[in-house]
Amino acid sequence: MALLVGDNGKVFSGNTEVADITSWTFETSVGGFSFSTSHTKGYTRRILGNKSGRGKFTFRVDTNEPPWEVLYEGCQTTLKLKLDSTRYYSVPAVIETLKFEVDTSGGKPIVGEATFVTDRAWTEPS
Amino acid sequence: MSIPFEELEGSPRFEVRDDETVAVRTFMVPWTLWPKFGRQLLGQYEIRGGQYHFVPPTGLDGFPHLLVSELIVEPLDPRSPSGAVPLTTVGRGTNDYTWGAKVTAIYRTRFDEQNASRTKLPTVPQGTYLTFRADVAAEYAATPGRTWRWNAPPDYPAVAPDVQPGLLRPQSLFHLTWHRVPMPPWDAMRALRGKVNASEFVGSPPGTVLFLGAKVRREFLFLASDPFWRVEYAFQENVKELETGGKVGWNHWYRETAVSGEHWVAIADEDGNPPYASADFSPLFSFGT
Repeated sequence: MALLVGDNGKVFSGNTEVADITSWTFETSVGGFSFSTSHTKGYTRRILGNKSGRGKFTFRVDTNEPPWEVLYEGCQTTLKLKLDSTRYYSVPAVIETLKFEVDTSGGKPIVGEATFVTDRAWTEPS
Repeated sequence: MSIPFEELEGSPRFEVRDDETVAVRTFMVPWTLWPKFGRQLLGQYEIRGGQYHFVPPTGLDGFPHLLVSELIVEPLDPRSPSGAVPLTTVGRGTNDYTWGAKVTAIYRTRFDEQNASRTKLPTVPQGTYLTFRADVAAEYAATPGRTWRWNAPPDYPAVAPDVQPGLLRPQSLFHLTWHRVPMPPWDAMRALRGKVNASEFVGSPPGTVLFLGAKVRREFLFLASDPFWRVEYAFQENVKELETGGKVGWNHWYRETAVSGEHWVAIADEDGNPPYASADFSPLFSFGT
């Protein structure tokens, strides 16, 4: 058994690494609908529609590598979502939202969150 | 070739209206096979050995008078074109859908079986059918005043020559629409236009029905190889009753002086030809070549 841990997870937008990633998610799904016919004997069939995916990643803002120089809403890019140093999803995507959160108490870092949706086919980790 | 299909949920549906019954069935068929499935539903003629061979339409079980009159074809899942082979030229290929086509077949009442309620219609080849529609018509003829006398005793004076009593004779205009005709009889239509029936036709005595002509239009043009035509023949019926009870038509005219007690007398030119030649109308209801 070789469990993966996320400590080396990273996100690249094109060839540029998004600095100080704290987490990322990627959720894929398939569309479609259920129906029944003269042949389904009281059960339903399922039509498999198109595959799509969406996800988000969170980061801390580093002024040496500010995220707004890499990411903006509507940005079409290929995200590289790294599981570890060698395995990654390559995801053509559109950045949908960007969110920054500033907590003025206790010296907490400014954090941000970007959400994305897939744009065409992605490749799985090899 | 048997085409795989499934009838979708919610099918069939019926609407019974005051002038027709409409049934709607929806099917799931492979995308590339919907044209063949459509032909199966609609019926067709195939030419085998130079002869028309009728392939009957697929009826609706329990409702033999309903025939498919329209087809609507759309992707079963329009959001999911397979995209397996990208299109490069607009004129070649279309989207393909993995889950196939949804074919909606709309059946309508097109005829009553064996035309039981309108007898004496001409016989047409199997797979085609006739519908009958009638309308009103009239013939107006002005007669010279000398033909008449005032019905005023005791001396019953003559009607003055400058008074021309008119006769309005009710007639009938009727249409026989011949549906799903693979090859209309073009030559017969041309040859018989303007002629009257040589024998009883749709119950009317010889000489009383004039063939006015035909309106022709295409049916079911979605495939180039199975054209149908809809041929609408128009006839006008002109019946004059004789004193003997007989019935005459287009070639009889009102004569001032009765012949053998009849005022409706046939007319002809010097060669003995009547105004309207008579002919057998049955070629109008046989396929052309």
